[in-house]
Amino acid sequence: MSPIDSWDDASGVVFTGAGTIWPVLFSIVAFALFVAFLAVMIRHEKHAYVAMLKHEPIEKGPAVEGEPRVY
Amino acid sequence: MTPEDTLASMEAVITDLFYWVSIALMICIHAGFLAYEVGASRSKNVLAAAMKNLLTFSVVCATFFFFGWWFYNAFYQFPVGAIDTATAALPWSDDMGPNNSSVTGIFWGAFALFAATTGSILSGAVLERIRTSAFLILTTVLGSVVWIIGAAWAWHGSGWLLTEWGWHDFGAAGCVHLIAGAFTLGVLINLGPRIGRFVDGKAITIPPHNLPLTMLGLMLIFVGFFGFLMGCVVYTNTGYFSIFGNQTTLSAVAFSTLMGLAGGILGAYVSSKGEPFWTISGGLAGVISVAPGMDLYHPALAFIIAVAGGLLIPYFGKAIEKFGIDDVVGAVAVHGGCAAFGIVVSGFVLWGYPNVAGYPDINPLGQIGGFVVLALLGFLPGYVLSLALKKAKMLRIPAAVELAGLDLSEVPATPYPEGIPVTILKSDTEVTA
Repeated sequence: MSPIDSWDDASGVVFTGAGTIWPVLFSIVAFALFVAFLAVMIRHEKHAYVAMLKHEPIEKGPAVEGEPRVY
Repeated sequence: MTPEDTLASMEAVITDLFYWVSIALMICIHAGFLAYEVGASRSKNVLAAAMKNLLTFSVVCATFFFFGWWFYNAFYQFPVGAIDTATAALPWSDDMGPNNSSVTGIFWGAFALFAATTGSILSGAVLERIRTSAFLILTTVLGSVVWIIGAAWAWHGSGWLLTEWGWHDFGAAGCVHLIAGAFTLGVLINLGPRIGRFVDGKAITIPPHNLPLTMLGLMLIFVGFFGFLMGCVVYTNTGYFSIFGNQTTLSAVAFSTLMGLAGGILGAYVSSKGEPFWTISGGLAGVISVAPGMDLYHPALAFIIAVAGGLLIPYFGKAIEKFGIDDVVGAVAVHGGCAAFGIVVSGFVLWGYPNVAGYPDINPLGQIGGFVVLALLGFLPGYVLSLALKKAKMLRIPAAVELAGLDLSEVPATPYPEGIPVTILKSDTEVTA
């Protein structure tokens, strides 16, 4: 994947996949990860609100010191 | 290496270092907004406010790389006209990676921090009742689309507001503060106030849980503003220039920034009768009020304009409140109101000052027209997008969650397990009974 064979003749663009299709693929995957983050966040919010309205703790297990009581 | 090569190399290093420092200082703005908003929240929403600020930073930086920088390079003519030449700003172009012959990364970084600042301006106003996911969608659109189109039009050496109307706005009052303030107003109209903020139409003050932290946050924002305004200067091997190409110095910016801070704080102290929240916000109000002409104003004139800006913000805040709008940190008043004030004033005070390259001189109509364009550019997307989220029931958290607090539901952690008591709820008795 290296665009250069030696630093002696390196000038200009030097990064992973430079001059190939790879940077396009990296960008698409990175953007997809961003969209997935938003989707996971929306799911987390919905779950948290439902759990709170049912008076269930958000995290399973015994309460740790200082943890607020279940609403 | 010849002496000329050495000199060119050193110039490139100094340019990089100049904006590197600017970026680092601008991160103080985000640390400041985080402290500011944490302090302004009630103790039941402290961690949710902090998380919102952290995520703003991440989301805007990422999306500004994906598409924000492209908007700046593609949209400086009206409505578009540079699409072909903007391909170098696409995320997979050679110019957008480690590159031995380009300074794109350091300029992109500075602009990304400006972008994140617009998101932070929105963030404080919508505290304690917006869904974080909806906020992040809104802040992505504001930080990586709307403001940067405004910057292409109004904060670019070939932006059409400059080339056609003689626009001048050294410190980005229009594209950053006005657009963020107007966008925020559009969102607040659809979001509605916090429960209990208005009773029978009368505004009830919901006090911040930690006003000293809020004040410290604003002091950090002041530090960050030196990075912000440093980033408004174009450093070259032949001196400093504004983004519009006219000569300037860091000395001019130091005069105006400090006199703006001082004047704004004093003005807000007087008009708010010493109310701490408005008084320290006056520092921001002062700097934003002088921002359009801070490369040209005499320091004493900058002080006068800043005093006026500081005097105005409590009145702006009250005017917004009369419409039943709950702006938790006064973002619309301070950022939107003072940017509008500063832009209009600069049109008269700087009337006749020349622009470079034969572009029209600075004039009142150009400044007022630019203000209208940028206000609409900010308000309309904020209003329409938040209305769509509202219709999809994605904008606001459920009322029961709002009453109990976001830290109890969305954030699996406790801000003060042994310290500050949590917000007293009317429903406490019922729940524990």
